[in-house]
Amino acid sequence: MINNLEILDLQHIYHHIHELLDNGYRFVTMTCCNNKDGSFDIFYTLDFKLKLANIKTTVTNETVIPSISNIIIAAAFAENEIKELFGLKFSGLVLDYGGKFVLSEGSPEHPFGGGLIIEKKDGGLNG
Amino acid sequence: MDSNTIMPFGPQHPVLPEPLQLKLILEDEKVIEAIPGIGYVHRGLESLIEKRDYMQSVFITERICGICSIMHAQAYCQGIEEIMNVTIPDRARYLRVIFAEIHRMHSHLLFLGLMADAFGFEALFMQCWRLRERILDILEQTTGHRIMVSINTIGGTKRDLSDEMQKFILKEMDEIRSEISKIAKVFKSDYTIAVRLKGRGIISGERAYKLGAVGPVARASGINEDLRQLGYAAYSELDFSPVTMHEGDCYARTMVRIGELYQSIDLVRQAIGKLPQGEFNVKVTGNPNGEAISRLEQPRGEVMYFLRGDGNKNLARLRIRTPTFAHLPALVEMLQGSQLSDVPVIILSIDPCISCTER
Repeated sequence: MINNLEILDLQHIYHHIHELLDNGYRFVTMTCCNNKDGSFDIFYTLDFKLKLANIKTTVTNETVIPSISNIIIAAAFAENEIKELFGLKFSGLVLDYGGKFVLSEGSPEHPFGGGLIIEKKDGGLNG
Repeated sequence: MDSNTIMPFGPQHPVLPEPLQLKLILEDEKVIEAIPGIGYVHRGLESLIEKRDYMQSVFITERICGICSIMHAQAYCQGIEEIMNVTIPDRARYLRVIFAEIHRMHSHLLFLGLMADAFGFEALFMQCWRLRERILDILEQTTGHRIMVSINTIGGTKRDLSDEMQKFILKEMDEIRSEISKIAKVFKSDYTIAVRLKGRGIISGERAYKLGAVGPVARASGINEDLRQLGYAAYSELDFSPVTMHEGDCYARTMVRIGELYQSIDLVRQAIGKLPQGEFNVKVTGNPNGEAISRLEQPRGEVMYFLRGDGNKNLARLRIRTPTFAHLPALVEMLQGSQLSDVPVIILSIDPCISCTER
């Protein structure tokens, strides 16, 4: 069980994180998880004096998520990663790698987003 | 005339042990902006773990990074143990401290050698890595392997430490402490090292905190936080306090790690001195069902594991936030305003691990 977990609607996330940062919290990371119904849980994790504050919101792949990167630049890297791996959309990203943050040219699109089928190719060392 | 130049630094560069690219925007030789680029060694390990039995995944987490393999596995095991309500034996808690601290020493000595190489002090590089070999020998003699020691398992540790091994480690720690003192003396007193590192890549405590810096990078800027203070494994029963400095430059980041070498020796001695008798692992049955966040202090700083199990033998999701990932914004700020010639040592001063970062 995750301690100190708040579940919020997406529209309250930005202001709540702003408030936590103003109160001295340090941004730790963002985590995205697939749900069985096709939606995605996003966890925002912050730390204050070694105690974590976790905020969860649930979105779909159609939702445009307001980026928090303009209040905490460290979030830009986590948001770019989620955007690439899960195919979620963020608005207002201050640093947008355009889908080439952790993935390179020719990589499968949104490999963690569900529904990915990798075809076995002929050739190569194993024939 | 606009004299700004964009210069790619990396991904292949003599000073970088792993591929990282920084697009440096230069005005003459002064860095105006740095944009980090990763993506050269992304292996999709988080996804692989979702396709393997949760017991098998211990081995995958160890392979996220060779330099902190013990602690990746430890963070993963701690997370699974929390989800499954497993209490590990007291002896295992102490064994985890002993092996983690020995591993921290191996990582810090690797860093010191690479740093010496970066500022062109080859003899010092050689001495740091010569000493690191002794640490690797301890790991080999006690676990059977030098890097992928595979000591952690869900429910405790895979191996015990015999009385003879404990004596051997204590004897080695005494001798290694004396060797570290010689190396530390050079780092403290050499004029060239001071010129290359002091006042370079400064980041204040306030900025380091706001940008999410962790571990030795944060502590070198005066942030008195170390995740071992959480008391995981047996740290709550051992006496230590974080090693901090206040200058926030490359020199402070190096000296914090030297201080932590002495601290690790002390923690190994304390843990062996208090090592309880009894079992060193418990059998774990069932499958993980629930969520947990597991954090611990790796050599480079805080690592965070998010785990979600849905009652199946494989995890539904594993997410890993490594210290180097957290250091990217701080690195960008350290580089702004620096001279091009200082870029290699500034990058190395965060002890970057790219295979960790990309997973």
